[in-house]
Amino acid sequence: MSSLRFKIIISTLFIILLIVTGSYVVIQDIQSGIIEGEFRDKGLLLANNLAAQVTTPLLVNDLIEIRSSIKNNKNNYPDIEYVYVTDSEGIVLVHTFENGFPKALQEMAKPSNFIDEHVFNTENGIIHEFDAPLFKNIGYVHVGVSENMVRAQILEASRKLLLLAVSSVFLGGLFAYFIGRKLTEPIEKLTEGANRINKGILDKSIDINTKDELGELAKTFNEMALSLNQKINDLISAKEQTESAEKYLETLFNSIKDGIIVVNTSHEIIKTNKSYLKIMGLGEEQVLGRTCHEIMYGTGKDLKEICSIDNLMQKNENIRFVHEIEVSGTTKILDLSCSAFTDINKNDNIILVIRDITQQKLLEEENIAFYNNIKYLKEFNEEILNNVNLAIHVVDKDMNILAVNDELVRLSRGRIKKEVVINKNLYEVYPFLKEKRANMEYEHVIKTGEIFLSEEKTQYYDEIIYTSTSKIPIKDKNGNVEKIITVIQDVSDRKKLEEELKDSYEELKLTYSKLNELYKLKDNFLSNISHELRTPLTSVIGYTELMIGENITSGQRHKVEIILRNSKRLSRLIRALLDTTLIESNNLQLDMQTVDINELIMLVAEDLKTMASTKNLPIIIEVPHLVTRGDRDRLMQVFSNILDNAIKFTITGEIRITAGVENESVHIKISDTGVGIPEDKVERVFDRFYQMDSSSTRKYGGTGLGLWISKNIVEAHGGKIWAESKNRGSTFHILLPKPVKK
Amino acid sequence: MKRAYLVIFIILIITGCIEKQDKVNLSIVQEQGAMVNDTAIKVAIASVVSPKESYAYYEEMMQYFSKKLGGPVKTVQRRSYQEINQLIQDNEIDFAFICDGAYIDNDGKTTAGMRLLVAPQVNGKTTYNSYIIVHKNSNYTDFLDLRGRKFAFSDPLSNTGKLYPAYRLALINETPRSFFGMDENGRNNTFYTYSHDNSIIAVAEGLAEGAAVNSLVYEYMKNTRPEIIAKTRVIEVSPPFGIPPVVVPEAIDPFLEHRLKDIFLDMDKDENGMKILSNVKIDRFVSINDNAYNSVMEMRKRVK
Repeated sequence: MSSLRFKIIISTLFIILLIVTGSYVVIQDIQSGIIEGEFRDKGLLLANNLAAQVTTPLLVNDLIEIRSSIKNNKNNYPDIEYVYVTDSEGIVLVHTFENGFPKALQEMAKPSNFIDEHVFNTENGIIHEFDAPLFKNIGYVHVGVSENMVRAQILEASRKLLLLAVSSVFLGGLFAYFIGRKLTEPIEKLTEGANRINKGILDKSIDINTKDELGELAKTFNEMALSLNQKINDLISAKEQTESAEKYLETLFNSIKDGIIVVNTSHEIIKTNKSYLKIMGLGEEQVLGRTCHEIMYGTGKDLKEICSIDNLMQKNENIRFVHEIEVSGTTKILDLSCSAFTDINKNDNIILVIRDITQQKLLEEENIAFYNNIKYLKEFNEEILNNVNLAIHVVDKDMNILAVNDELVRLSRGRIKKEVVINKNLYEVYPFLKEKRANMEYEHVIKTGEIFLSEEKTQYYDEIIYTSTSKIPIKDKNGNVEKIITVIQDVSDRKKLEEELKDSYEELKLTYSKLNELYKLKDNFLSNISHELRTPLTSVIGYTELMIGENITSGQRHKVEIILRNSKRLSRLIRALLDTTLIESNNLQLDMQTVDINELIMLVAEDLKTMASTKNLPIIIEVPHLVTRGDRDRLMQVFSNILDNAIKFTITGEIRITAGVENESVHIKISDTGVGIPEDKVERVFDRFYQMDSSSTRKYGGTGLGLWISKNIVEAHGGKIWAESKNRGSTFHILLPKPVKK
Repeated sequence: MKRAYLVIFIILIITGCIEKQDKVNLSIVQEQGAMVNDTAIKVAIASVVSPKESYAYYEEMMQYFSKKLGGPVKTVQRRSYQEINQLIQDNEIDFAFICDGAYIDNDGKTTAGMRLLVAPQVNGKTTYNSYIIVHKNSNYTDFLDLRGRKFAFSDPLSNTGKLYPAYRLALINETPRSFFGMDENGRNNTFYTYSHDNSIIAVAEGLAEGAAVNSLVYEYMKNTRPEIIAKTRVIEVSPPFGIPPVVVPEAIDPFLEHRLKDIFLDMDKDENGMKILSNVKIDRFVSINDNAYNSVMEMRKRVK
């Protein structure tokens, strides 16, 4: 292999040789051209001069003169080989050939062959024959000039030129050697530098300080080595970063909440993260190497066909689907995203991202339910809003109307339309509001955030209406009023009614006071009449009882007993009327004393013993000696009333009287096994004049005042009386204030 | 491969400069009578009805004859009428266009060794004239005004260019030498141009103060070289003379003579021949006899 220096020298030398040779050839050609051109010019000039000289002699046919002229010319110019002159027909008149006119020139002498220059080779060398016509072509001059002298000049010039060319080649060779050496020296340095870089020695620079391309190349090499060194360091650093990133990704892979698995084209799981294992409740060894469909769909079936992996591979499109799976007895809803990717080994793999969306699904369902609820509420609200007989509108804080309901439209007597007023200013729709200073009320609501209630009498579209208005602020999360709901109730009818009622009320008030007076008169009358009735009745009863004890016939006895029974009944009626009067006039006076409940019960039971025995009803008394304070007669009246009712409404069974202390009160219970009281009427048995039905009055008798009086007596004692019944049997409870120990 | 191309290139450059030429031998000179053994039909054109510059058209006529004769026809040229006459008399040429002056010898008879073949008809005539011309700017109005002046003759045997002026001088008992005299150097004031064209140019360029020329040539040159004719002026027109004829040697093969005559006489009857005749301003060739040249014979006798 030849060196670069040798190639440069040889190439340069070759180029120089080529240039010198080319130059030599060209210069020689040019030089020859110049010499030949001069020669030709000279020849033509000679011929023309001679033609001018011989024109006149030819016309006057002075051949001697012509001969003399051509002889002189030939003598003056040694290059001239021959001269001859022809007439207009080419007939040679004069020539300088000593041995006669050459046959070879015969044809050239003809005017038809006339050209400026003929060149032909003779034994004496190349001859150029220059022809010139005489005046008006009356003849022609032919001058033959030898080229030998010109050739000698050209040869001499060529020799000099060749010497110059050889010298140039020699000097060029020297130049090529020095140039080759100069050029290759830095290249050798560059080669050494490149070898160093190849061996990895990057810290040593190439020492070339020239300012040419090689200098630039060396500089570039040095920079490249520096850059390479830097890049190697960067690569090391990048490798470390990559390793760090891989660790980071691995950590991320395992720490990400979604389960991720990578499967190959045989559906075998080749990689999994911890979240997947957690979602599936499996260990890594239970997952790796198994197929994805085996884990997702179970074993024992050929599930590869339903697995989406092959589909994904064929279509090369990402697949996403939701799949339910049973994990440890719990149903889990999984969202699976499958994407294909090719790893660095050109293997096709599929990455599956599995997200447990069970909770999310539940939340979604709740959300849907919530939404439906909201939707229902909204519809419900709208229904209410549009069906309530309250006119409502909603404005924002700039008083632009956001919503109105149908009632408002009705209230406006159809003068406004929903779709027209929406987004319009409230005062624009209802100009009179400002006149009524409603704007100040709204400002107050916005400012204070409080509800503003008002009632107005309004001249509303040529009609006077009364409205009750509530301006209700709606606040944003910062507590600032952002909307105001105005609820307007048309109270025109009510107001009219009120005004009418007001008049009636005054009348009633007057009537009432009159009636009050009448009541007082009635009470006084009843009180007086009762008292007056009782006195004679007491005598009747007393004497009747005496008569029974006397010796009378059984018929008489029977009659006397009827008198006695009805007298007593009348007496009780009168007493009830009296009590009623006392109670209604708040004049019920109690003679409070210490009483033994047992004693009172026993006395009452003794009184009614006969009545009970006639119905064969046992009265079971389980009352301890409980002492409390009370009006002895009134309490006995109470017990008597209740016991009387019990006997009266019981057909078979028993009557049981119990008592005890409860919560610092004496609790007396009188139970029967009678017809009982309907549940809805239990409360009402204590009403005045109450009878369960009209038939009971006829069947059981009574005024309907007994229990009412009893209730008032117990309550006058600070106690409480109530009844319990379940259609069959009744229990009357009497609660009297705290007993006093004996 | 590139190197091979380079070598070829260099070789081409070097060899391209070399040119082979056949050598011309200048030592072989033209021999007199070299055309004796030549079998081609030879024709000499000494004087015709148009200037010498139109002789090129006669080449076409010779080619026409060559076709008609079925063999080569060569043109032989000589400077003087005398030389042509000699060729005819020596039977070295087969026919010739000669001047009527050359057809009549010094004794006023037809020149021995030749006979008439045909004569051209120009502008419907078989006659022509001699014009005595001077320079346009000169004051000469008569031939006799030219006494002692330089005068150009065309050829010693020419009728219009020599015989007629000599005859005019003979009528007043003068000869050219006596009438025109000699210059200060003792040289004759007359000279021969051996061409009517040259005579006209010599007058136009002031080399001669007068000249006698062929009227046909002069008229022809009015069209072809009007700038020369414009410098001249005709001061005398001679009586008509028989037009310069075509002659054949006495010893010509009668068959050839007959054949040549037919070709000449029929030339105006074919298209190609007509075209050639038109170029040399000849209407046709016609038969002619020696009587046409009687006036020339008379002049020759007188001048003798």
